[in-house]
Amino acid sequence: MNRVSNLTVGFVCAVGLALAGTAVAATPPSVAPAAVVKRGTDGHPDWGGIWQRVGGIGLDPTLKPGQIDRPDLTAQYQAMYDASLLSLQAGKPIADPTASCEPPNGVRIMNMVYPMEIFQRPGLVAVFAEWDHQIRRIYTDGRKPDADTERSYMGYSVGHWEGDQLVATTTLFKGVAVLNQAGLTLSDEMSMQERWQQTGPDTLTNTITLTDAKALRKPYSYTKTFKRAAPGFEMMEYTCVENNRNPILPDGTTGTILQQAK
Amino acid sequence: MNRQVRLTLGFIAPLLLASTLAQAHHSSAMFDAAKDVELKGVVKTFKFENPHVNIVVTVRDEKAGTTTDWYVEAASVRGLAMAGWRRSTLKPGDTVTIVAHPLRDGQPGANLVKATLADGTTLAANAGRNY
Repeated sequence: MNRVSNLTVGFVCAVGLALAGTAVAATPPSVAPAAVVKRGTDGHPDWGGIWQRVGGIGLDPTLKPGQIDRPDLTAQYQAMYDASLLSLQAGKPIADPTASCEPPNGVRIMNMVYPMEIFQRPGLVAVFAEWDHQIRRIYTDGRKPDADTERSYMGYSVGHWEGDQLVATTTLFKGVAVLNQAGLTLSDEMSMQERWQQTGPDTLTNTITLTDAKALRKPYSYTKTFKRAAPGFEMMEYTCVENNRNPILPDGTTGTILQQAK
Repeated sequence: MNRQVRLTLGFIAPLLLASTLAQAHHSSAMFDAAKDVELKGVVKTFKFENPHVNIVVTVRDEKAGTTTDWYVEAASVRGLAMAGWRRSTLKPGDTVTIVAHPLRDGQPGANLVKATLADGTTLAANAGRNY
């Protein structure tokens, strides 16, 4: 093998490794000593307050700039993802629902591009996301969805406490499940399992596992890390329709309106 | 799709995505992250609004004797606020020098990289990878 070939192979391998993503969840961080965990009246951890994401805005926050999530997709959904990547390559990002101000779904909202604020009371952990002002309600009072439960963008979340860990399952998502800006899309059978835990005085982690019988050949797992915001940090308003200039064009891509509308 | 095309896709797509990390709202693949344009002109409008703060700057071409209004898209209010921008940072009539990635389709639109104000202050488009 000559020098050029060696270089080429080395480069392709490096790129390939960089793109491999993380199909296997990182080792769950250790739980914080009980003494540093603030507790609610029910004795469970109370994580009330504002939290900011650590890492990138893909599903897996540990991906480096230029890397993208690459879950093990079924042929149909891999073909859709490939088509989206081709469109990006052509400088024409696909019709991402969030570009036209549809809310991100309950999986994508957990990318927490902007901060989140947690509110708790016995039987409920509510996660308020600054992005589009979406609220996830994780019910821990034992209720379950039934045949009449409506689908919603955030999905229907039920959970329980295992010691100081909050374990939740979310199903019944509404809308096209586009999960990142590269156009990764799962199906209406998408389910999200979460394991939240406090790993330090000001650190929360959430290990997420996605399953989807139609779209995923095997579960996709990743761990989110959040840091408590500094004292005085305030949530801001984010209303997407305030001045959105990115319509979905007739060819299904995302456009940019140059002329001021107002 | 054959193996060769897959490799090509895998190589190119990350480059396009590299500049998109600070935006929630949509991919910035319509902008050419490999190119910078310098827009020295006068602020026509400054909208400190979501989902994207935007600046329209009027750039004069002295040779041709014409002017062009450039639409410069930035991050969200949150993103720019974290980078030190405020609603009062720019107002119509201010002179400004903007560096931005231009639209691939040749229209006078671009994605903010940084801006230098009349007093010499330079503000970035975001506060790093996180916002």
